[in-house]
Amino acid sequence: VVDDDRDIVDTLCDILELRGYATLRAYDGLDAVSLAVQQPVDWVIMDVRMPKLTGVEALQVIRQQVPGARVVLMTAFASADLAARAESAGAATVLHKPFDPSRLLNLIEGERGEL
Amino acid sequence: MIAIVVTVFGTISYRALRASTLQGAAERLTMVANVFGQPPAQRPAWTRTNAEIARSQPVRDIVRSGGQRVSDSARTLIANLAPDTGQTLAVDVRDADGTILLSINSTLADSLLRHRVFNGDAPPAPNADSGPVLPRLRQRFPDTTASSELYRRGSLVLFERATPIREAGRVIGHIVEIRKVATAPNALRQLSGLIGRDAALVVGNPDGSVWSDLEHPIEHPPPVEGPQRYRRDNRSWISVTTPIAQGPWVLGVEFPEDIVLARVHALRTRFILIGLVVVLLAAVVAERLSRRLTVPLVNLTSAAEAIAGGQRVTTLAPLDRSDEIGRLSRAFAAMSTSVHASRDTLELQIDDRTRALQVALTKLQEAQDELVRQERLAALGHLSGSIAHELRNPLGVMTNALYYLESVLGTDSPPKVREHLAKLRKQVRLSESIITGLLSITRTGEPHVETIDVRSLVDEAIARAGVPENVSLEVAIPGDLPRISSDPVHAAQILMNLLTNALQAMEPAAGTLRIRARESEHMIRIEVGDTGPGIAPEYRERIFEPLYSTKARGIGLGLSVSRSLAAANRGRLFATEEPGGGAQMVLELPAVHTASERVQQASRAEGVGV
Repeated sequence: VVDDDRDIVDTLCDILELRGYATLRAYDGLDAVSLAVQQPVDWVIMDVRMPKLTGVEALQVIRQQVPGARVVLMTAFASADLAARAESAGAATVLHKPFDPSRLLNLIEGERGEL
Repeated sequence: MIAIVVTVFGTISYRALRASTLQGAAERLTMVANVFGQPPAQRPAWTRTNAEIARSQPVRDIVRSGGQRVSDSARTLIANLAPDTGQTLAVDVRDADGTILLSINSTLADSLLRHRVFNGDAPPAPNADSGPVLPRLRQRFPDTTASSELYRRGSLVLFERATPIREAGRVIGHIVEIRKVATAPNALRQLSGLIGRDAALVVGNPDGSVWSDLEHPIEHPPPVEGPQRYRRDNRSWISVTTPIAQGPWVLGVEFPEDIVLARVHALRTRFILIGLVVVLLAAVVAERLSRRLTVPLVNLTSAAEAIAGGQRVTTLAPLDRSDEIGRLSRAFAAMSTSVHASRDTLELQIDDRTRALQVALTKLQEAQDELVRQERLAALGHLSGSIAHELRNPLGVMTNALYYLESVLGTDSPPKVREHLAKLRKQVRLSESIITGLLSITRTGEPHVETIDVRSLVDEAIARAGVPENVSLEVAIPGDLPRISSDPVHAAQILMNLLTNALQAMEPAAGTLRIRARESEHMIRIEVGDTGPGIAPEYRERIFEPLYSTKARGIGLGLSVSRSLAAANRGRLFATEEPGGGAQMVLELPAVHTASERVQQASRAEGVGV
């Protein structure tokens, strides 16, 4: 879970861990990329606007370096343009803050059910 | 002009007539003068006697004897020459040298006769009241009977006549009579009868030195030459002089000019009278003519001035005249009418233009207001967008935290905890909706137009707004109402905003929310009315300004944004009064007629049920 807002990262991780998922926490795009490269991850839940490396840039690197990882982008800015770019860069979906965490859980669990 | 013509003509005529009259008179006078001037066919008796006396023996004896022998018969003869008629004042008998041999004086004239002409003496003294004497008579005595020039002695006009006394063909002496010029009274009367009562006969010297009217000297004698006019005794006279055959004198015949010209003068007077009448008539006619001419012109002039001054002229000079004035009046009336017509047209055009200008100005003002409003909205949108984004992260955290807490606590948690969690969740959602509303300001771009069913649009808005229990709801939407063409998100947002405002206006008391929809001139009109306090007329436009709010809650963007959205969807939004005193918001959006709806409408219009 990547966000420069630590509270977002912490609350989401707590919810995911409550459901039994192992989480890694990063607070900027560069951290996220190095973490994902170091440790194989299934899901990357990442804010778009972040210091050092934006969510979209990090997404591109991660999609390249870790082809198996699914990426969910979060944003406080609702923009069709961003959604289109994220989709072309290979994002699974874009969630607009504030979103109901159950939507994220449903997404992840739906994917897992398919596997 | 006429006066001048009459005067000139009259003067010329008068002069011609006068000249011819005078000419005629002069000819008549000349004739008379000639008659009198001719020697009479029969000489007067005294003349004959005179010559006979000079030839008589006794008279010759006196001369021969040198005055020594004067017989009684001679004295009687001489005395006969001086009768008592008073005409002959003295008779002398003289020798050839002029010496007086015998002198018989009439008693009355003796003192007057200090001077004699035929005596060869010095001429009369200049201071003596006499005229000049003929030179030939002064130097020597004539050898025939001759008369001297006239001369004056006091009130008498005299002349002398010398009759030679001959002996053997030689002149030895003279009988000299001194006579005064006179005629017998009856002779004068005869003359008057001949030449007219007003005429006068005068006798004078050829040089004009002495004149007599046959009785007395004349102070202002007539001219010697020609037929002439002259003034004497304050009268104008016409005078003709002619030599008299028997003496060295001239005979003048005079006639008063006013008598001669009496008829001419009468004619002149008549002429003047006629002329005056003509001039007067001409003046009257000219005055009437000029009045007939000038009065319409003056009227026209004042009418023209009135028109120039911008007045409307209705009455003009008479139009029925057939002359130039009539034509002028008619032309003027036509001109006046067309001037007024064109001015009216012009005024109408000006009014039209003015109205158009005012409309344009109003539109410009509205456009400017709208622009200002949009700019303020844009600035606000930018600001509120930033704030909204900044708030979304904390809201995300809160949402997550709530989810975590609810997951952890589950249904076993105490009711109070659950209640507080629910309040938290509600407030987070409210915050989110506020932020969404704020952000919508930045999302008034190009609408994605769809065809929307009004009924479902309203129903959804009602459901989302959450009508409280103390508010009753009245919805009146015809089942066959055409759909609207609009961005569904925009339409929903506007309607939501209107419902929220209406509900808030009625808080906390109970009330009625009325929603009506109908078609009006290709627009669907959706009215949202409440039973709240209403909006004062002066605030019905201000409420659409950004940041204007009368509510305790809210930032005053809802209506402003809604109006912008309505305009973006080719509709409009405005406030009015709900019957009963509440506020009524009217949203108009373009109507869409599907083919079947059009058929239905047409059938309804024709009264045919389908």
